[in-house]
Amino acid sequence: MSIPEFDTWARCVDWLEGELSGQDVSTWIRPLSVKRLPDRLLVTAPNRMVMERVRADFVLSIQRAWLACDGADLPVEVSTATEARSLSGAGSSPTSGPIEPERWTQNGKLDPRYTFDSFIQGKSNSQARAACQHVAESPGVAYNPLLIYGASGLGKTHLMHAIGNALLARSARARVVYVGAEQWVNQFVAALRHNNTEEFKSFYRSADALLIDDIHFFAGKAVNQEEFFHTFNTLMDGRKQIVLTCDRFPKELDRLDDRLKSRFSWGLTVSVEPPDLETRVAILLAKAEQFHLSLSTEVAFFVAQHIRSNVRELEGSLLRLAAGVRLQGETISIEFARHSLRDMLAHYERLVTIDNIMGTVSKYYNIQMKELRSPRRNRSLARPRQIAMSLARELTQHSLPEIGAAFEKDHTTVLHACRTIAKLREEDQRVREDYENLLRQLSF
Amino acid sequence: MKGEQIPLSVQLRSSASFDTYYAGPNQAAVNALRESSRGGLFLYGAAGSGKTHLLQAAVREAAPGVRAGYLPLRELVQRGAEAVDGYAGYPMLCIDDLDAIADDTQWNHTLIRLLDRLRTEGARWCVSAAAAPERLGGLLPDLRTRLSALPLFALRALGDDDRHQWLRRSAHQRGLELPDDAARWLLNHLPRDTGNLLAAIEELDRASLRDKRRLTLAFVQRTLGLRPQ
Repeated sequence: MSIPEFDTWARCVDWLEGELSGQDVSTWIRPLSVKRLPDRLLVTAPNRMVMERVRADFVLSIQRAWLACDGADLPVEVSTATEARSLSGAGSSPTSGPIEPERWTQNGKLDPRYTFDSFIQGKSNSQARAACQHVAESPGVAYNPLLIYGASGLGKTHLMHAIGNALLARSARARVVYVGAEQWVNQFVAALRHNNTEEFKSFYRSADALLIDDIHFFAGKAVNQEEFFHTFNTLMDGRKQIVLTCDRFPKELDRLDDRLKSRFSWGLTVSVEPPDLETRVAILLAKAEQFHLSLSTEVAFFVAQHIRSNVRELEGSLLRLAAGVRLQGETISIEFARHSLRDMLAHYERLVTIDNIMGTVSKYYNIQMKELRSPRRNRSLARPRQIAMSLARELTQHSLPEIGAAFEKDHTTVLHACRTIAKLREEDQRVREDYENLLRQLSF
Repeated sequence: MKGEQIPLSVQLRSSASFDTYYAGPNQAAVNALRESSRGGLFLYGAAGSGKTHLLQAAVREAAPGVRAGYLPLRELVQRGAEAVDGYAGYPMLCIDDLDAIADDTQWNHTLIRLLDRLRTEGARWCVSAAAAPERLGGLLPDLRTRLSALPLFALRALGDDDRHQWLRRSAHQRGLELPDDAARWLLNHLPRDTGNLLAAIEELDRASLRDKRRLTLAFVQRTLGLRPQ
C-alpha cells in the first residue's frame, strides 16, 4: 500500500469499527491490505478462507467505508496474496479453484543462531555434541546416518541446525536441505496429487546433506517410508551425509519399516538427555548474556532448581524475568525471580472449587466434610466452616448465594462468615496462621 | 418483565483497546504486551480474565502501522488448519484460545511451523489459552515445549475491590452510572466472573433504556428478578 492508500485504509478500519463487531474487525478486516486502482479497490487477503468470508460478508461495508473516507465509490475486488505459502500443507478443497503445489524449494531455513558455539554442553548431551561436530567436520564419512534422539525441547534441533550451519560455513555452495518429517510427508502427498514426484525426488536426492527433523512422524505412513527409503539409499551411495532426529530410540518406533530401522543402525545413534542442575545453570547464564540480562549465579541456581523439564522452559523463564526487569527496573533478586516465575510454575493455576476447599479444610481441622454442611453451631465446627466460606469467597468466583447453597446455608451466613474471618485474621494469630496455611495449600 | 417489549440484543461489543481494559493485578502482562518489540508472549487465564480483549487491543494498537492478524482458534477450528495459511509473514500476530485445537494433530503441526517461522522472521506474536502450556492436555510435546519457551503471563481474576471498580467503570463506559450500593449488591448476589457481570450490565442497560430510569439499588434488584422477599 502507498502512504495515501494506507492512511485512507486506516480511516476505513476506524469507520468499520462503528459498523461491525470488534471480533469481526480484528479477524477479517485488519489482516487485509488494500490497493486503489483507477476503477476498483483491490483487497488482498492472507488466504482463501479470509477471501471467501470477506467476499461473502464484508465487501459492501468496505465499499461504503471507502466512500465515506475517500469520497470514491469503487467496486471492491478481493483476492489472496499469490505469494501466500501453504503452512497447513492440506491444500484447498478441489471446488474452490486451482491449488498451489507445495514448494519444497522453500523448506524451513536454518536458524543462524543455532551453532556449536551457542550450544551449552553438559554431561547430558556431550556425546551427541561430539558426534555432531565430527559429522560437521567430515560429512558423509563416518557416522552416516547420524540419528539424534531425545524428548522435545532438549536441543536436538539446535544440534541439527549447528551441523547445517557449519557445513554451509565450510562451503557456501553446499546443498544443505533441512526439512521437518511432517512437511516432507505433506510435500510428497502434494507431489503425488500434482504428478510431479520426479521433481520431488530429484530435489531431495541431489542434496549434499539431508537433515530431517522429527522422523517419528513417518510412523504409519508406508508410501512415504518407501520414498524415504529410496532417497536414503541414493544419498548413502553418493556418500552424502544424512542427519535425523527422533523423539525416541528408533527401534522403539512402532509402524516404522524394519528396513529403515536397520539402515538407521548403520551409522551412529546418540541421545540427548534432560540437562542436570549444573548444565541448566550454565544454560541460564549463557542465555542471560545473550539477552543482555544481568543474572547472578545464585539466582540462576534458584531458577534451575525450579524449572527442570527442558531447555525451552529455561529460555521462557529467562524471558519472563527480562520482561519484569525491563518494566519494573528492578535487579533480579531471588525474591523477584520467585514472584516473576509464579506464572511459569505449572502448579500455580490449579483450579480451586468449593468442593476441594471443603475437602482441604475438613482435612486440616480433622473433621468430616459433611459436618461443614451440618446445622451444628459449636465453635469447633463453626470456625472451620467460616474459614471455608471465606476461602470460597476469595478463591472462587461463585456468588454468596451459590457458596451458601454449597454449605446448605443462607447467603447472609456467608457474608457474616467473611466479615468475622476478616476481623479475626487481624486479631487472632491462630486464625491468621490457619487461614494462610490453607490458602497456600489451595493455591500452590 | 412479563409482557413488556424487550429490546433486541444487538448491542455491539465495544472495540477492545488497552484503555478500556481494567488491568488490576495484571498490569505486568499488559505492559509486556504493549512494549514487546519482537518475539512471543503467552497469556493464560480462566474464561473472562480478558485474554481476548487484550489480544484484540494489541492487534488494534499495532495496526494499521503494520499488517496485524488475529486468529480466534475457537472460531477457526472447524475450518481446518488452512485458516492460518498466509499469516507467517505478518509482523504482528495474535493467536487466541489455543485450547480449541489442542487435540488436533494437524493443527498442532501447522502451529509448530507457524511459530518457527514467526520466530525466525523476528515477528511479534502472542498466544492465549486457558492454562499454562504444561497444563494444556492434548498438545504435542513439540508444540508444548515451544510455547513454554515464551515468557508466560497469568491473568488473574480481580479481587473484590478491583472488581467493584471495574464493574462501575464498565457501566460508566456504556453511559450508565452504577451506584456504589448497587455494585456491591451485584457482587454479592451474582457469580463474579466477568462474563456474568457484563451480561448483567447489558441487561440493566437495556432495562434502563426501556423504562427510562436511572440505576438505583431497587431498580437493579427488580430488573434482575433477585429482589429479596
